[in-house]
Amino acid sequence: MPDPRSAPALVTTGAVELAAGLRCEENSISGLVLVSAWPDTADKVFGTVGKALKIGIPDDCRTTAGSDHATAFRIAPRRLMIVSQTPDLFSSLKGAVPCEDGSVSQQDHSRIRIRLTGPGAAALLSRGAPVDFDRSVFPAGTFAQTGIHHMWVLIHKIAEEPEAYDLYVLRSFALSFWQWLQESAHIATQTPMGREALAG
Amino acid sequence: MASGPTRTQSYGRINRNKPLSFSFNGRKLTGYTGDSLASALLANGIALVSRSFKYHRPRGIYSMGVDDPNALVTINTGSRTEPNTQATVVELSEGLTARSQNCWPSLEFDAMSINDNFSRFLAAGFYYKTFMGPTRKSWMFYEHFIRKAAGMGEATTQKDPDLYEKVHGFCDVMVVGGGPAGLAAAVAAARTGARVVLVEQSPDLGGGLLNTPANGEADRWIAEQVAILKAAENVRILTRCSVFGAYDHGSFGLVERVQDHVGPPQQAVLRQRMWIMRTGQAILATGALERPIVFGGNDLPGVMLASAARGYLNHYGVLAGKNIVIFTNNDGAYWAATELSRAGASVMLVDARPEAPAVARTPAENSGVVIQTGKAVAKAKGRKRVASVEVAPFDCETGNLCGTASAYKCDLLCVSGGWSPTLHLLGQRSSKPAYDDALAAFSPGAVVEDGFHVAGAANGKIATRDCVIDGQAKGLEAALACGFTEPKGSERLPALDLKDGWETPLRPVWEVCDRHGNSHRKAFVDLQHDVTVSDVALAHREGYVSVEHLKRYTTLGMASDQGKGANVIALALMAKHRGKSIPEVGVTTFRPPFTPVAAGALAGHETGPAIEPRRHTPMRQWHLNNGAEFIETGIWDRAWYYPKPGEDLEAAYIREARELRRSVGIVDVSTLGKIDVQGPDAAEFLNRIYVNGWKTLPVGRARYGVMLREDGMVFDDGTTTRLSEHHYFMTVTTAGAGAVMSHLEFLLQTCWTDLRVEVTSATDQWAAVAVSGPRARGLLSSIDSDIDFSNEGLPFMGAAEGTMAGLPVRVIRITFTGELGYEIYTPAGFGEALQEAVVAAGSAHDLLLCGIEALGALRVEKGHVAGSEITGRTTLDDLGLARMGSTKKPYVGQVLAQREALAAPERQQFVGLRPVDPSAVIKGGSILSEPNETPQGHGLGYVTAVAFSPVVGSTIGLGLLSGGRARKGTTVNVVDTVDDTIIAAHVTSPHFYDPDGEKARA
Repeated sequence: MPDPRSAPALVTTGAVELAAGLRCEENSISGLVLVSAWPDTADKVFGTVGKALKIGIPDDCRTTAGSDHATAFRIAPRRLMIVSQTPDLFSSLKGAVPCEDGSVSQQDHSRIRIRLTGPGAAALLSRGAPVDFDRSVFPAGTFAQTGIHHMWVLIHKIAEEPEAYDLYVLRSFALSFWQWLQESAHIATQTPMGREALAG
Repeated sequence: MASGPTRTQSYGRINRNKPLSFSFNGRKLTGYTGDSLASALLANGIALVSRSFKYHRPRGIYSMGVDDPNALVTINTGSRTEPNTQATVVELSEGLTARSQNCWPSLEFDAMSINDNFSRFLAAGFYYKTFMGPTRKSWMFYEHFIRKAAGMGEATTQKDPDLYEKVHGFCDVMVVGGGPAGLAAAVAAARTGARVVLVEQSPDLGGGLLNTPANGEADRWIAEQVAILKAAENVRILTRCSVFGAYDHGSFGLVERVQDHVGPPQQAVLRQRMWIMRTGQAILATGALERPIVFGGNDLPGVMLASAARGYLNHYGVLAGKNIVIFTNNDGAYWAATELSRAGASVMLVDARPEAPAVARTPAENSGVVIQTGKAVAKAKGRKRVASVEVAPFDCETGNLCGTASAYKCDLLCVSGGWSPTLHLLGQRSSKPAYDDALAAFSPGAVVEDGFHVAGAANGKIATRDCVIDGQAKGLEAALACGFTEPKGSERLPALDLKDGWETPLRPVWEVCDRHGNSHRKAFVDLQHDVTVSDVALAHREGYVSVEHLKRYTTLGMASDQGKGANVIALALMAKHRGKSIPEVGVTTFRPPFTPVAAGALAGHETGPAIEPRRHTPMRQWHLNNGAEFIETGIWDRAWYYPKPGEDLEAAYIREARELRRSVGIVDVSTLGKIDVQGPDAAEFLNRIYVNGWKTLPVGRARYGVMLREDGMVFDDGTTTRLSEHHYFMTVTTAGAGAVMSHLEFLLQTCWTDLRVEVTSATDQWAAVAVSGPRARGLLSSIDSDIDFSNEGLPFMGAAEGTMAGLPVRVIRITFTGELGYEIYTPAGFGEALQEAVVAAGSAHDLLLCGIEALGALRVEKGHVAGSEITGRTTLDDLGLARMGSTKKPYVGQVLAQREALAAPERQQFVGLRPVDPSAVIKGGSILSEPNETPQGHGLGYVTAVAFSPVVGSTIGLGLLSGGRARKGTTVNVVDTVDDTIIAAHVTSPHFYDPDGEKARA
């Protein structure tokens, strides 16, 4: 089977420096599934998923849980988004969660993950996302589902120093999102402060 | 070094080492860094700055801030032209160009100033009464001339070359206003650890303290506070930033002028930044605005607020007059009188009150100020600048003059009628201000909206010391409300005490009337819109007694200054007319913005091509590489057609459509909405949302379905495939995908919570191509695959999963063109590879690339309904799909679809249209009418879609026609009201091609 192609936006760009020290690049996804439970089976399904992947399941819809090979995002009270570097994620979970308990939907090609790293990352995201990125309320390991320029995006803060985020966007919006990142960084730095602007 | 005739040698906070050149009405002038345009004009001795809105009366600089009603100018040139800008808020920059507006041929000699001579005939609302006849359209004729006669500056029609951005900000405590209360509040809040944002609309922090003498106690105190705030990591200071709107849940709109003060740039720069600030608590330390007193000629250039004259001296080093009269009703003007006199002016102070307080009077008199109490300015006189005033004894109780007037020469008349707390942001919320008799103004009132705190002068505090103490208290209060605690051992900073409080109460004076109680004819309440005292009286006589009606009838309180100085006076005058108190008359509703906001700042960079995001299919780059032209279809960019050399759109799509029916074509249909439906109750769910039955659909088979809205109208259509016992793959229309997904989620989460069904959007997961045409099977069979494409292996409406060219695929045998067709789905990342595999194999099968224009033409030939027929106003029967509706089970929309009116025979029904003359062209959107009749109103219906049909050999159309099915075989007129053409067309079945569907089943 051939390797999945990158979304059109990211075919030729590779890593790009948006401002001083602020870089973005695609971070490819191997496995991504959405798992849903019925109202009375959530605990059972989440337990099954956690056991299958050897990870904990978050209690809330803000923090992630996971391991080196898989991360769980509770994107709704009865829904999980599982991201994994193992390509057989879907088949393993599909087998573990019977339809009497819930559903497993393969979505590994539906999203593009962009890694944004460096000083000013939060400042750049704040140009579009109505999310408080202050470290006190949005520490590493936190995620938010929000909209940037009318595009759905899941923002996952993966590190504090250097500041780093994984941005999950729908594949069909990837080009527009990529353009938004570049355009916003360009505009934000056209000030007397120049490229320092995003650092503030 | 002085930059003009009124610039002092030593006063002010300007940088005299950095002179700046600018021009006003073409005249080259000089100012200093730190000047405003207004201060620089005053420094150069320029009193006449503009002409008024309606009467074209000469106007000058009235205040020194956002409340100035007069000094509206146009700044910059070309694409950066910005009209209606208050000279008082424009920072002087090198090369700044400013010019007067609303005057011709010049500011000095404005021809339209003749309006002033007819002012008694041009009262409020005159044009509504005068220019309404003789016909209903007469206003359209008059409007052009009226707008030329009265108006403001002219906006440029050129594209804005500069950049804007929007930023989301968050904080625990936002302090609005960087004056003494704001600084104190910010420091107090910051010391608790709260995240503080301090917003100040001016370039420098200090607020009203910057209008007191420089290099004194005030400056030292400001420096201390600013140092504390700048050193704190939890504080962000935004200067040149205006909070223009207060919205729900503690969110505010701010606009930051990032680059305006630098001067016209050489290239595109980030000019302004809009902040959407979400706060835990907000402290309004917005100060108070001095208000005028109304008397005859109170709008002349050279009439100025007393605080402005003081500020121009102490902030900008400009002594705006040498022979100054100050008219007041409160203690505050005494400080201005004292300082102006000390700076070298001859000052006479006229106090309407019978007595002046010693604490204010003594220093004034010691500075040489001549004080007259119990008197008022009856009238200001002069042509283009005040030259003298008439002063007469005044009775504060009646508001009337009560003695003989004396004339005094002067070149500056300062006015102080008291101070009104700046409560606009609070007023934008639900909090109604309360009238404060001591201030003769509205103050915050007992109930302030949750999350708001009002501090300092905005809270009715007069003395600087009281403002600081109030600010400290409110800063701490706000931080505690956010859950922070006062740090132990912290000491509050000593308050700044400038000993500038009031000793004697203010006496309200709104208007100076003559001894008989009559108003002066040229006494202006709202200077910006030329609203006079008599206009307010006229509004009352005509029944516009509500303050909201008064505002709209007279335009009082509108435009860029929003009547900041005029509103309370207008309320007082209306109260007088109605014989009521001011609070009984009420207060107008404040609305955003507090200050003007450039549309560019609201838009950010969401303009032009970036106004909205675009969606792209996984094969976009492939289409680009292979010569496709693209078209925007809703939010998607789609391959439109693939022109060969010399072909235009029409030639290309007709070729593509014709050739596909001959051989085979491939179309990118990845934009189709795709929904993954899973769960034990999935079949029941589908049974409820579709009009037709689903429980008997076998695994591996697909079915066409139609959904209705609850009101019985057709909502969407598409094909759903049963992949396994409890797993379905639904496709819906490209345009309807989002709405259908929301609809399904809504039903599951609110109506059918008992169903164990999950719907998940899979639109982005799957790329899809439609391979269609007589040779489709042969083509697909030639590609390495484990799928049997034979009619037996994959019959019409059959589905299979497997691999093609090593790619995982889902294949559904279904067609939109009417030909033998297959939709092939593969995970989106493999989309290009699938396209390449099919195209590579296609060379042996005469495969052609088809865009959606050809696809649309083929569907018109086939007579499938699509978005142009599923308009939300058509029923199943209208579309000829009534037989699909099950009678054996309930479904959404079933009940209301049975309404009597929806079965009326005259309803517009889906038909085909073929021109009687094959060379005639049916145009989309044309109105349908009876033959030989001109259509009335909406006619009998309209054309929903058109295409040139290679099969028919002419253009054909689809349409919705009243009683359409009964009209088959007749002719109708097709009326194009745009090109004003009428052609005759046969009414036919919508199915022009293979009506029995044999091709698709072949």
